[in-house]
Amino acid sequence: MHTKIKVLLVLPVYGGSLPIGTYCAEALKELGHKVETFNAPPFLEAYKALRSLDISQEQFNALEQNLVQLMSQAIYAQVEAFKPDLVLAMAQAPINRNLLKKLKRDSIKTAMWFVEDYKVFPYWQALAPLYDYFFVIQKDPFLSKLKELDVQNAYYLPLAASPTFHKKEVIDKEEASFYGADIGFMGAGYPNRRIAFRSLLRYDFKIWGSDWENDSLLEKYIQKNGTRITPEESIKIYNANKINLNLHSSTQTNNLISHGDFVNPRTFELASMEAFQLVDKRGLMDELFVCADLNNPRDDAELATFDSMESLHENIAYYLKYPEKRAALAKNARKRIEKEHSYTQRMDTLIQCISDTSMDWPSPAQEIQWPTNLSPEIKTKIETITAKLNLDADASFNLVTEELRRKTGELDETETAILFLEEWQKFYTK
Amino acid sequence: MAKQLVTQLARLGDIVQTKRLMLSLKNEGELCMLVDKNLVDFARMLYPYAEIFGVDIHNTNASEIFENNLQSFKKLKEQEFDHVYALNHSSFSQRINTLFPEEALRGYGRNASHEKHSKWIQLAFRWMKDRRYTPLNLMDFWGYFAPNPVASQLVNPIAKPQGKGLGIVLAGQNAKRSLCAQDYAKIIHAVYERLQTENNSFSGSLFFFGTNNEKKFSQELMNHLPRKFHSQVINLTGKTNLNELMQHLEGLDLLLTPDTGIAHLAAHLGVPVEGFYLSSANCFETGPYGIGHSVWQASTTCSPCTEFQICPHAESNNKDSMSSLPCHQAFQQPALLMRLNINKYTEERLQKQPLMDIIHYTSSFEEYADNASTPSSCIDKNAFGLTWQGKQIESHQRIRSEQRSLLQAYCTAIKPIPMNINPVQNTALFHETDWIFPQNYPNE
Repeated sequence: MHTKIKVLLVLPVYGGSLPIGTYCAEALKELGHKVETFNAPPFLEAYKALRSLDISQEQFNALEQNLVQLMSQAIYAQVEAFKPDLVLAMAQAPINRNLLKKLKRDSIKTAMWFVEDYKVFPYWQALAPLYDYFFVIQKDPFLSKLKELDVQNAYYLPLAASPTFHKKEVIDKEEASFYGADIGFMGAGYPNRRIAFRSLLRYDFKIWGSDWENDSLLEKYIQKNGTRITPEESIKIYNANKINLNLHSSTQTNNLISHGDFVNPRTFELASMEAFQLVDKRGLMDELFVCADLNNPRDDAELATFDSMESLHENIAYYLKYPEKRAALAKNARKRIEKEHSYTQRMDTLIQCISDTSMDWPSPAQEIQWPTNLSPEIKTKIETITAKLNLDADASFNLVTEELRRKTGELDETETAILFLEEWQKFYTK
Repeated sequence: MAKQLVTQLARLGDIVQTKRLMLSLKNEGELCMLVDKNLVDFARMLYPYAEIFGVDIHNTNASEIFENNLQSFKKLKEQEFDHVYALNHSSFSQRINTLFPEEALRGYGRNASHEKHSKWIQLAFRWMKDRRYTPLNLMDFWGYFAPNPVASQLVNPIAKPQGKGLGIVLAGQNAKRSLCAQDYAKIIHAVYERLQTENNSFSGSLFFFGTNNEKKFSQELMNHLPRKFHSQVINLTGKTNLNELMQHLEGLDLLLTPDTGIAHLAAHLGVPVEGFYLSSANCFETGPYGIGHSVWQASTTCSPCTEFQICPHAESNNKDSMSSLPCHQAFQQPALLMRLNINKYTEERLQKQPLMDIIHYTSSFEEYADNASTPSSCIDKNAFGLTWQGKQIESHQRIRSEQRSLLQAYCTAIKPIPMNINPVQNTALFHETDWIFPQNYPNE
């Protein structure tokens, strides 16, 4: 899409969709769109403060409701100030129904990228019909269920990685020894993982991440007392391990390998970092990556997969023995990410999809022209401004003023004169 | 010594009403002022102690606007002001604010790329929600932007008749602030007769002030005035620039006006003003500043309204459709004319003909006492600002006084807040967030 749009990206207060949201914001900027984010995480402290009050559940519910209302109002205030063409919400974004209705009334397009398992987060049923676009990481039966709810614009949009952030990192010996192991896992202690990992205790094995409490068998393998790992630290961990185990989460323990459909963010991130991973096979994986199993080796393979605990053990034994095979797969995976699975590509697809299915979107702004007959000296000054704003020398008046309006702090006299002229134009063309 | 800039991009009257702030800031350091380019000479005349800069706003050529302002902004930038007092809630002013660091801005400031209001301005927005009770006029509101406002009595001279004659401001810039020629002629007649009996030194001359747009109106007014006055009229309509206007105003016995702009100028010169304010002009907001002025203020149930809002009783803001409006009808009462020439009538006669929908106010620096309609016995030497004493009982006075007390306590922190505050109004002016979050002095 050639037209550049304004996107307000609404982050969730917390959770897995939060870092994805920040990658999306960066990706949209990379595509040249104007992006502002609604930074919801600081509101978590207010929520915690309410939670800590010794009050009845009814009282808490009312206060919690008010907090959500407050956040929605704050988002709307940002919408009024920024005037976006699109409000893009990540899953769990603090947008209530009233706000969605208001945005519809204001003819501002809304979209949610629901980067969650629809079976785990059923709230989509209440929200999806209120969004203009609903992007999901699963296909049928989810897409059919959305259709049943009369959600017209629901589309499959798989997860991705951010190659600028998820990149191969050379780590020193000391860090390699601290973060690295023959087998490493980073993630939360879901029930299926707790059981599955009991069979790996004979290996040099490290577990990173939270929610691993009360497990005496795994206790000594859990690093940093099970505290949350920052995205920056996770890159060191992934780069330091010989094998990164990637077992998709499940609350079920009868099937440790859940055989679900969507591919998790870790798969893309590890691939982007050129870190070798062993990942359980997923229903939608073959259309995203070339998958290899030990019975069917391929030179162009990008992911080593397993579909049972037996095959997991076989794979571990094989890949610990052949470091060059690990390296080849990881390299292929990284290339695939760069080619097809970056957040930049996902955001491009998302915007293109909305553009293709919307009439007159984005609505054209009233174009104001640069004054004619400006002296060469002033033209040069304007060119200096546009260059400082990383815009083309022939950037439109609207584009320049839009960038200048977003600048904080003092402006120089030329910048102020441009903004003043814009107000003058609005005043006299009313 | 601090280097200070006052940006005042509004009209002539507003520039005059910035006087208390200008006088206050003069004592704080070097002072500059930024005004509409067309009013630079006028501002220089008014504030010879300040350096005046101009901004080009009312030009029709975009290139000229851009190039002229680029030069002006460069000069302003070079001054490196310590404090910039931004007085206008306008997008033009907001853009000019971007020239200065956030911490230098007072009044209408800036937070990142958005406008930020000081606590004092936030208070003003609250009291403006119900303008019937307006507790503070604009001169004082701006005056309190200064860290140490000068005493309000020192702003303008006490207005006294000076023997030159009667000045007539023909009309306001807006039709909503203009009386109909027939009504105005009767008013002028009554006041003229009063001056003749009251003032031995009254010369009898009548000066008409107006722009070219009011030439036709001046003729209409002449037609409605008794013939005996015609030879006394010096019609200056469309003949004066601002400098000449000031010269003509100086020395007058009285200025009659339905508008506020020239009234401020007269008050600045110590010329008494007698205002005839329709609903869109409110003496409590923008009445002539100082002692010695009076205003006949429309107090219809629909007042106050605003100058540029179309009157719900009229089809348009067109002059021709105005005379039937409630606030215009108030100025058509014989009871008003009787009170304008009060010496002619007995108290009994006046009582039989009560004045409706108009209140006669005189300017004052005395605060009302707790008893709503009685002025306090002792004159406050440190007056908070200008107020108006009504000749009749006025229903909004009590709440207005309470709000003034609150504001005074807020501004000076020396006077205890009265205990008998109406709780509803108290809540209207002050919000919980004022004490939940850190407080700031009004000139923040």
